[in-house]
Amino acid sequence: MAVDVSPGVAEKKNTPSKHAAPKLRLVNSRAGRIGVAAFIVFIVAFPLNFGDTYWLGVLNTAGIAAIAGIGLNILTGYAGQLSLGHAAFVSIGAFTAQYVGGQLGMPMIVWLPVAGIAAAIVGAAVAPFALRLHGPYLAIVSLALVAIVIWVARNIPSITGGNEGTFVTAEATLGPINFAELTIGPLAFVREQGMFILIWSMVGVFLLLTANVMRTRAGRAMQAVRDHDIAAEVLGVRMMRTQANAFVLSTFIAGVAGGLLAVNLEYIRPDEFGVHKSVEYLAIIVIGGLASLWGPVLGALFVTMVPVIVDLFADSLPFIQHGGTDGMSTTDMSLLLYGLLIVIFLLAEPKGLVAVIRRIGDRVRRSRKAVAGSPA
Amino acid sequence: MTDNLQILAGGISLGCVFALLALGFVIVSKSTGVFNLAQGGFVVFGAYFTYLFHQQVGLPFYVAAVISIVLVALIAAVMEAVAVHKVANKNLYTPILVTFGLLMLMPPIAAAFWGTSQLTLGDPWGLNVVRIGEVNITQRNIAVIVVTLIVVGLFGLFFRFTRLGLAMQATALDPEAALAQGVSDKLVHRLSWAIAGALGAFGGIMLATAGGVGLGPGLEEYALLALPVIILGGIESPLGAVVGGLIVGIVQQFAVVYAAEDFGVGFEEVVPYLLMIAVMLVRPQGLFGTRKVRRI
Amino acid sequence: MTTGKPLLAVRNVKLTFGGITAIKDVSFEVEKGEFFAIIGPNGAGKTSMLNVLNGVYKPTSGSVEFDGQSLLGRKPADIARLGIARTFQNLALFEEMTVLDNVVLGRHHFMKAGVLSGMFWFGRARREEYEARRDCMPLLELMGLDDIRDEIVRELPYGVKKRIELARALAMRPKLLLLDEPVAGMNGPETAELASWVLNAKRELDLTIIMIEHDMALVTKVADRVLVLDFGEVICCDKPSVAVNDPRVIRAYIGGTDEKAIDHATAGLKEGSASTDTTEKSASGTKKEESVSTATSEDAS
Repeated sequence: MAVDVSPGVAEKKNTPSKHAAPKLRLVNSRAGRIGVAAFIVFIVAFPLNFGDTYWLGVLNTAGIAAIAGIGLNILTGYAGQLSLGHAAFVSIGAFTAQYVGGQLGMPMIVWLPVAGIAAAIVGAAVAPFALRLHGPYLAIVSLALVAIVIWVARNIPSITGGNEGTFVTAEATLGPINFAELTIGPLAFVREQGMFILIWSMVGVFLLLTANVMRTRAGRAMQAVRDHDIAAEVLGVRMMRTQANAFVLSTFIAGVAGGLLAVNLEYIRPDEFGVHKSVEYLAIIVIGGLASLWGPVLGALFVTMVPVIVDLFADSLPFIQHGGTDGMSTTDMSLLLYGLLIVIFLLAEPKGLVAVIRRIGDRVRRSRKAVAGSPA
Repeated sequence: MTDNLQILAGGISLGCVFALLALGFVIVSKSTGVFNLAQGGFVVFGAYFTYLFHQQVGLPFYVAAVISIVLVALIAAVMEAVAVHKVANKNLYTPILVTFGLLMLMPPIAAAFWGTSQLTLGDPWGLNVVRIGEVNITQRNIAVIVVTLIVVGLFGLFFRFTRLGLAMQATALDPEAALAQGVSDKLVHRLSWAIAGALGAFGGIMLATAGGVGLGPGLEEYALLALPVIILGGIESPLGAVVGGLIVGIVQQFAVVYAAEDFGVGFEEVVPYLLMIAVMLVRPQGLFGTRKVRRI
Repeated sequence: MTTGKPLLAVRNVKLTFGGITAIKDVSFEVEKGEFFAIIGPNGAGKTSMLNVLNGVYKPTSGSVEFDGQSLLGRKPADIARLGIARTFQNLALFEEMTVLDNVVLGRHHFMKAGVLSGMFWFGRARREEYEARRDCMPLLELMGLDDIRDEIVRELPYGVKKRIELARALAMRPKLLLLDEPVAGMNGPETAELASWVLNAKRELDLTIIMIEHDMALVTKVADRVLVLDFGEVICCDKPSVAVNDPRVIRAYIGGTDEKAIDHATAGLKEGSASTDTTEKSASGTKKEESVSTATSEDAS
């Protein structure tokens, strides 16, 4: 037995507690705290010193995808419920953001939360019957929701611009700071730089909120229901409420991601939020690592690179369309790779890139220790 | 009145295709417990393979169709063996997610070989009109209905009277007992996927022939309309798949004709989903489904 | 021992799945502070009985009263809140979580904080999390788990997992604890060890226990009374020393098809009254108890 506990331990009830109650620090190692500080500095310092707007744009896209992924990871990774309709909630957030921020002219402090709330309300309305039965029902209902939301969006042109979509006029301003036209003293920055700060700060905020939920009662219940639903119920966990919590939280974050997506893209169309978008989010959490905090961030960086790289090598890759020839579009190629990667990761490394990196880290540390330990 | 009968006939024909696709879902779900979204990909492969053998290679339509169906069945069985079997019992979402990944990668593969433009599978059954009383029915629709009836009948016989068919039901109810009778779960799982693949390919061919929805990108999304069908009928009920398929087909055809303008653009595409949600509110286990008592 | 009303009163409970009867007609009462055992051959309906008690199954007819309240129609989560905890025959731990988190889940229904206050690590959520861990630490020590509290459950050995499950159930501060074959799959020393943990906890926490067990030696050692079930019916309910000598009980075991159960019954008969040692061989019960294989039923609403 790996753990040696003698029966006699049971007798020492009167001896004072050997272990005090554990401290509940979110980041409890020095390295972890340095990492968090580095992340915060990076969010602000990196874009201000890095001028390549193309790559900043790619990173901004990745950041938004990471936020959506954080939301989906709560539902699928932590609560064990599969949604194929995450794109629908992102789209609700996006169109709400433009309506509230653009048409009604509200500031970001209003339109960003409202985008999340709008998505969460739809989520709360769908949750009860999608979760009523055990089985693939949520997957199916969420897939249906993608079709339904696109249909609704096409048919309310006053808000969404209908089939053609709409320009986004909502402004990314917070008090005096306009992230789209950031100026610090005499320095004026380009749009991508300001948006980077906004988007990646939000990534940080949602990572923190998710970490907090998952170490407290509500999040613990979600994971318990995922691991063993009957045992959780027998402990007094209300299954329906717990899963609905996960669903609403997940869709709220999706809505916020949608709002950011809208201002970042400046132009949104209902058709952009189809099943292919849901696949992207699923690929993000599977590749990054289900039920791990940083998984969606890693996964989003990885997945966002896929179309970029496909574009880069489009001329030398087989089967890709070249000016009118038959073949796959970049979108098709990316879809193929997402599908393939989802299958490969689920079969070979269900814990995703996070686990791969951790394993590499362990190996490096061990070999370093071995080197240090051997006589020179 | 005759108009309505006309629409009804079209709806039954479309419903037959849905029923076949739904049967593919139900068979896999019943005998392996996996909810197989890859079914939509089989539809795409079946249609494009037939295009390959019929239009490009030049084989007669029926030969091309049979070869395609067998090929897709094989591909399905291989997919089960390579990608799905290992995770079939893992947890709720992993197998669904794997089959979803498979679904996503199949249409781009078809696009790689056959491009993204609209193709035609030809008109093997003829669009000539047969008059039955007051109603005009195309030969294609009659062919689809008749073939569906034959296939459903064959499956009924297979499951009820053959050793393997009975074994497939047995594994679903009690894997250990089935194993004890010398039926390997591997064989059953692969076979059920092959059958689903064949049904999917078959449905795809019928969707893609003239008078159907055509052969082009987005065919898999049509196939996903079989999802509302199985929710409607009950997720593990073959009878439910057939009845549900007919209901969805008929409702959709009527929606195409009558509701298009009042309910906005693209209403006919979502009407099956709306119907499904309505059913879930009233009878979540579906018309022919039974509620499971979970045992621990 | 008796204080008028029993803690638990089960009257004429019947349970059927589709057409198959798991429990025919069972009545019994458990007094406060009692250690009550349920034994019987495989398929006798023991686990089904526990599932009825904590609301996982809904009995077809009959009544179950706990602490003066009817349990019928209540969901498992509500019954948990009334003070009934349980462990499972085939371990039901949250494998991806730490030992401490598993045990803290036992405190779930004493806590109130929702998603929002948890999200911001604010006020009640923060206070409750600290309280829950403080409350669980003595339990971890009692069960000898304090050194491994931060380890992920999946990798831990079977015997330790059994103890985690017990600690988790105890964290609920139950009035009634249901144990479903707590020593299944354990060898002699492990069994003795677990028995001592259980008895220790019972004494410390003033528990009433209902235990399903195949290991007759253990039953005779720890139980005050034993209920013998066969084919969903009560054939005996008495002191262990009386029950093992009851001809109907012996016949139920010998007439049963489960050889291991017979072994255990006879082992218990030989050793039960004389020695307090546990049997050498491991208990059976790794097999699923339920023999009913169809799982559909129309009656759930």
